[in-house]
Amino acid sequence: MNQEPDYVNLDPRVEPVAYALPRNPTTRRTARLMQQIWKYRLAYLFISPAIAVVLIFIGYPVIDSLILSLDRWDGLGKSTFIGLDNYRAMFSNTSGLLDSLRITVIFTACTTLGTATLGFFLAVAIAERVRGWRFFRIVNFIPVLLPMTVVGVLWGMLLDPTNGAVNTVISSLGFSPPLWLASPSTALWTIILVSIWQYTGFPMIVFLAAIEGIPLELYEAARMDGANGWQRLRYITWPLVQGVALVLVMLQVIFGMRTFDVAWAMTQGGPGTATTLLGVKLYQSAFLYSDYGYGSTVAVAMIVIIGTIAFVYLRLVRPLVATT
Amino acid sequence: MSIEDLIGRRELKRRDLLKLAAAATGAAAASRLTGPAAAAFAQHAAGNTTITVEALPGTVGPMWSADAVAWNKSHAAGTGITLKVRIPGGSENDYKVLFPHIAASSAAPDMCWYWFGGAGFYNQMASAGLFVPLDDLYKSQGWDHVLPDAAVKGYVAADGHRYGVVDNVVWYPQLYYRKDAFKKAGIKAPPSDHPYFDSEAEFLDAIDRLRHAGYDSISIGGVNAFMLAHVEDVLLQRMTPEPFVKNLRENWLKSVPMTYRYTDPRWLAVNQKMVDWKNKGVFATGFMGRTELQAMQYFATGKAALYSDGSWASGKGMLGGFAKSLDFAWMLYPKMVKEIEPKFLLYMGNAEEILTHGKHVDAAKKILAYHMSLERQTALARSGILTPARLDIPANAMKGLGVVGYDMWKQLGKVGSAIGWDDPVATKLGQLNYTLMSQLMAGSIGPKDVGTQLQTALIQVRAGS
Repeated sequence: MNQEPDYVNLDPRVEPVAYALPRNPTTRRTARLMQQIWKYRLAYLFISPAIAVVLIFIGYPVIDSLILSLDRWDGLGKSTFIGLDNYRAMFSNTSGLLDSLRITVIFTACTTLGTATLGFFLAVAIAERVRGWRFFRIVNFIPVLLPMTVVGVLWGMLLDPTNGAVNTVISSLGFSPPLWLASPSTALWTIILVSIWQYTGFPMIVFLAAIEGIPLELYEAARMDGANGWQRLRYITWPLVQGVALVLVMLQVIFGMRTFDVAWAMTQGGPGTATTLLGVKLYQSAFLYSDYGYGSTVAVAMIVIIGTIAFVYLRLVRPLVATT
Repeated sequence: MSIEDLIGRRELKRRDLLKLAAAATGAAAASRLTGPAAAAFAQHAAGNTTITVEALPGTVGPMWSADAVAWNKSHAAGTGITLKVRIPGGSENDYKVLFPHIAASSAAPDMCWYWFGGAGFYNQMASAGLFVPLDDLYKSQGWDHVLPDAAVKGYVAADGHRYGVVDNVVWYPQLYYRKDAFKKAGIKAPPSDHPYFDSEAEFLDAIDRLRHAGYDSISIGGVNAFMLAHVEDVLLQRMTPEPFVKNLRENWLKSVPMTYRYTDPRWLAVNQKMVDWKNKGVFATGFMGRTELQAMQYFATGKAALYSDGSWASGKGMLGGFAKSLDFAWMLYPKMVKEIEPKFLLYMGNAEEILTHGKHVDAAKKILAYHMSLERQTALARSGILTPARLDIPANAMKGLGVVGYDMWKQLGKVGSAIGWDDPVATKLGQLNYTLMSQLMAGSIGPKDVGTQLQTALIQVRAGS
């Protein structure tokens, strides 16, 4: 009777023992993984510090948050395991989580759309070398470099309902000025505007780099074929920067969903809960109420929400990115 | 292609790896030796100890900085102890919520300024063993006899120890008013020895007249919700009997019966009054969009006739300093019901503590004794930064508080004082109330919602959750 060998030689060029793999699929996969690790051991050695950093500063906190979300802990004493109580509290009517989620989605959608659209058109204008393009390139990027606290204080003073420069100008023109940050109906839109003002420079620079990477011959050929400015934008520029745009939107959505600084610096989540983004909710739960278990529950919810959005988005846009 | 191929088949020899490892270990050791622990070791060896105190930004920081200058000039050489002050950035609330974690870490200073009672996380910090007991200092320095009774007796921890000492007192909130605005509106301000309008109607009439005279009404920093909670606190004193407030202030403790609830009509009436005042324009236009500082600027620049804030605002670090040309005076919020006389709301929880994670407990105790000495407390009064807690300060030194500060201090005994709800209550309730006050004044919830949510939180706190 022919007995099957315990190992299968996958590479006929080498001795069977050296690269033999077990027949059991699971053991085989493990053995193959070990072989790969051994083969690229030096590469793994080089990337191990980076992996260690990721595990220590991202992996560990995420897992710890998950564990902490099942506890009650005031941040100083001993924690107590309470099962899913924090999750029950989060989904209760009074938690305000859904309201925060709604506010965050509005904020993210508007800032993403605003920064990406404005950034694209500014990049196109600069690439077209409009008069003063160097000035616009610098001026539009400077806000990105400013710390959010500085931006918060600056805009807080400019938008003071009665004492601020903006409303002074509006009043002098005979219009009734809005209350900006002081009213629940305008506060969210105000921080959206300030965020767009601050972060438009980032997509602008990225789009500009992408546009300037497009071969000039394409534009010259289009011109010779009689294409006008809009047609060149529509049929050359946009298709060639579409891939960049899709990645940018992804990044802006992630930035938007986890925003904390602009709302905290300008309104501390108020008036009332008008600007309580998920990030603010997390901070309030963990630090203001000293309830780190519940704060971790909000953090876990944020990871799940952002992760889901990123996953769905990537699945949707991957074919588009591949074609561009 | 493997990495060996990429780097041209050069081999990383074991000896080289060992050399690399040795170099990394050496660098780590050098870093450790030049770190703070080594610095502390080197200083100790040289007979010099540095005590670091962490102080709240604003008025507490300058108070400690003045102490550091005085100590380092006259005592550092003789004692071998140098005093260093660390003032973190950020707001008061940032300090409140973040400092406990610094205190629990290896970066803890030797001493700190932190609130007694429920206003911050003092109770949790004490339970976690972060504070050094100060009973010996109370005895040796005689603090039991020179500090207000409430400050001495009110803050004994559950284990019988005292972990902090009150170094200054504040009262809140007052109404600071512009004399020119009152003059223009034809309003006679209440005298210092009877510093309030005798009825709400009189008060509202004054507000109306000020608005007609072209001034905005009470400037208050609604972004900092504790400012709103302070007004709520003052209305509680004016509109409800003391036993009611006292029970609500203390009934988060299991040992105190829950005689009253936050759904009580009297509590709801106070919140309704806040809403009514907002609707009547008692608070300046856009107050929910201003911070404490912006609200102060709005008053100081002459746009608003009144400014609502605590006693600290009259000091040289704030109104008394940056608005030297401003001619202002003070009064209390009005009498609301006939039977209850308005009082100052006194807060005696501004305390100093020594941290167990600090490295030099004995030296820190020397510094704390110096900080609380008659000499330094008198200097504090003269500086006008804050009102010292000691009761044996010479009266002429108290004039350093400035005209307004000194005047208020003189009236404290005559008008009388009460303890507010906001500060001694459990942290969870106090912080929740800030959020609820912001929501109430923004119009997103009503008084009943405030009462219901506070009552739910009270039950949770009593249950230990």
